[in-house]
Amino acid sequence: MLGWEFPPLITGGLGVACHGIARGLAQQGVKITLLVPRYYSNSPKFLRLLSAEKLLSKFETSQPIDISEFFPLGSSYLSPEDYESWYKKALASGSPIALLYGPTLFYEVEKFAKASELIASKTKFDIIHCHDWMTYKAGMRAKEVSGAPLVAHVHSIENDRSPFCNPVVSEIEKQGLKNADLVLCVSKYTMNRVRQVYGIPESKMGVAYNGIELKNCESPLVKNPRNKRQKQVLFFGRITWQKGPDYFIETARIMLSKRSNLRFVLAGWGDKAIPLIEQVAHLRLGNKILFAGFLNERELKALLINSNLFLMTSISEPFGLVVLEGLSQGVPAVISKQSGISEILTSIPSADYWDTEKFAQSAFELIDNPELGKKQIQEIWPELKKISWRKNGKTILSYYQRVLGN
Amino acid sequence: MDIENNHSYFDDEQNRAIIKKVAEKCYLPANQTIYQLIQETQGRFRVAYSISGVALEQLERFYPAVIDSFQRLAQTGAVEFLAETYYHSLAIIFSPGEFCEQVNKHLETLNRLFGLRPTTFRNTELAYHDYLAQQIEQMGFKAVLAEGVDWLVGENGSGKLYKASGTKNVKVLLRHYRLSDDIAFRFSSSKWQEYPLYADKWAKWVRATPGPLVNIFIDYETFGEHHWDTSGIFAFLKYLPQVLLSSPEIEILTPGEIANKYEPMAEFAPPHWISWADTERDLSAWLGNDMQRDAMERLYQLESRVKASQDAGLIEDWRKLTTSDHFYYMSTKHAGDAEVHNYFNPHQSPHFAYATFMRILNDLEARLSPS
Repeated sequence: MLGWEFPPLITGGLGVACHGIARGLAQQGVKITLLVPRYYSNSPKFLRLLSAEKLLSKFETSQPIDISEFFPLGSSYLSPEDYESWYKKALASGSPIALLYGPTLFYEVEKFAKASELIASKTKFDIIHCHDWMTYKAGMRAKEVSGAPLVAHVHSIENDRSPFCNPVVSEIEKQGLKNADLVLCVSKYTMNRVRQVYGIPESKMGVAYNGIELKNCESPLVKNPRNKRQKQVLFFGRITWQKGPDYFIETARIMLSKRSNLRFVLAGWGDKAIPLIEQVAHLRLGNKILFAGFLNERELKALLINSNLFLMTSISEPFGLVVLEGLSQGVPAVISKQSGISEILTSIPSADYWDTEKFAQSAFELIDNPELGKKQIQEIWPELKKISWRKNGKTILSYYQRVLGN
Repeated sequence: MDIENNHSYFDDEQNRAIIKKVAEKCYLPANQTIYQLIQETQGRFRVAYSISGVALEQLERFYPAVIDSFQRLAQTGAVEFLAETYYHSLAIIFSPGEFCEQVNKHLETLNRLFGLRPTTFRNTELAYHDYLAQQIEQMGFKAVLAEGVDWLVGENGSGKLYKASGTKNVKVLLRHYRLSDDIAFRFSSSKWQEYPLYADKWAKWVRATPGPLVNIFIDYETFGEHHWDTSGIFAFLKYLPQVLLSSPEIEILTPGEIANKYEPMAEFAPPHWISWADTERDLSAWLGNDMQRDAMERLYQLESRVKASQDAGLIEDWRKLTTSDHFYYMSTKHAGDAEVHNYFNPHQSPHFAYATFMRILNDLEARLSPS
């Protein structure tokens, strides 16, 4: 298996999903060797964890990597020496983002592919399973060397992440998906997107819904939030185009024009945060629509406990793990139809991401009838319990068997 | 982000540390130097201080020795204390009622600490319009300070004493910003062609300036904080009285004394609000973008409800939010002025400053609602 992130070194949902998928497969008896760019903690027992960096330094031949080959922009050229010093600095600063998605991403992708080639030539395995575009080159390289079938797992595609697709990323994605023997998607929604954008036939695609780590088996106690004076409506996630924060703000504007005892909070940060702060100021709603900045896990939990409602307004959400996080803290939600999660949790009120009137209407219903929110969570809980990584592992194993022809 | 549960908005520890640093680098040594100069010149060297109520409050709390040394200065009779808004606010723009209350609170503080009743007013950051002069005339003030803006009075216009338009007889003293900024901004700049600036050179410029007035008004932190001791700023200050007073035609007076002694030579009527800030010399340093306007408007919108609550702690918190610096931190101006804005900014960026301020405002508003 080829992964880009693995806990505890993660920047988002991809690392969490990769961990869950590997564990679910291990529960089905699948033996996994997982290659990640780098790793510093101990490997969990259910798999064999390898770091590309360590692998390369061990087997490094006299022939250095020619980075000019794969740098799309000459100006971002960085010598391995410069890279090392940058890397050490980033490491010292303790920022996992700097480590995983630095300015030399394409260099990292190529290095990772080289490590994958190396490991594929020295190990015996039945199937190659890679996660998102950063690992697709590595997957193709491993397939070339070993001849084993390639499974490409799509957590998101470039068209989901940005309205201005990076052409280099799109090209890598396209090649990876074309060369794959099986394309696994995290939702039907994503499968349709892959078909539309890359023309991949449905015959070689499949859906494997992500699981969720339920910490408690009981249905979460739907507490009345500590905040009593104003009802608090939450957005959380990266403040980027993909997550539709502008639709959250438009929904807030509509709701505030009808009622004033509401507070809207955006937790998170991203490239749209500053323009949106200015927009809120222009609307003169800065005292009602608040920006909390980036929060750690403890702060986010405290914020959730004090919230009455979560709105997920994503423009394109392949799965939507955040909704589950909110629900498990007892916060009801209204979600975008353009998401994978809306396929599974069909009883949650949903709207097209652009339909802010509908969002506002559903939000008012939930705010005005706390019982409705409680009911939402109580009804969803059994459904949530069915969504497990074990089930995800079972599904993926059956796809493996199909690809291997037995 | 703990709205409705945590109402502690101000960072006492940081305030204490800053007061200590500035007291030791500037207030104490500068007060000592000025006290000696007054003694040495038998009171011919004279100064005026404009110290906000919040500054006095923090000095009393965190460094009372500074208050003692101001009291000693007050007793010399060569020092005038000016009135301003207690909270260093721009309340006059948004709420004349609140403005009066803040000025009265400042007057009470000056009376308590120094036993004085000022007759000269200086508004926050020299923000000025006819309306201000009319308001303070009703409150009994005789004179007011403003910026000597070139486009309004010409290059040498700050040498005259003015009458404020629309008042019976409020006298306006205009800051000579070039000679003031020579000391306040350019003194330690080695790129400046006049660097290094010695007291006799600067005194020569003063003599060459058409008067009769040369009004110098600068940040007190010029001495020891903006320019460190090693820049020679204290030596400059020490020699200044003797080189100025060696010319018989030069007399040093405080603003109140000037207003008593001279009659106005012209009328001062700026067409809009002016101030001493940034190159624009208007209110754009505090109200230049939507974030600043939203924050200010939303703040003053709460005034009547805050006061109706009769909750002293809540009213005090609200008033501390009127301090103009909060809005200054939200400025998004670029180039030269941004350097000045950023130097004083405790926030990561103007957008963080705004986001933080609005979270506090939201919490304050929530305290007004019944739970």
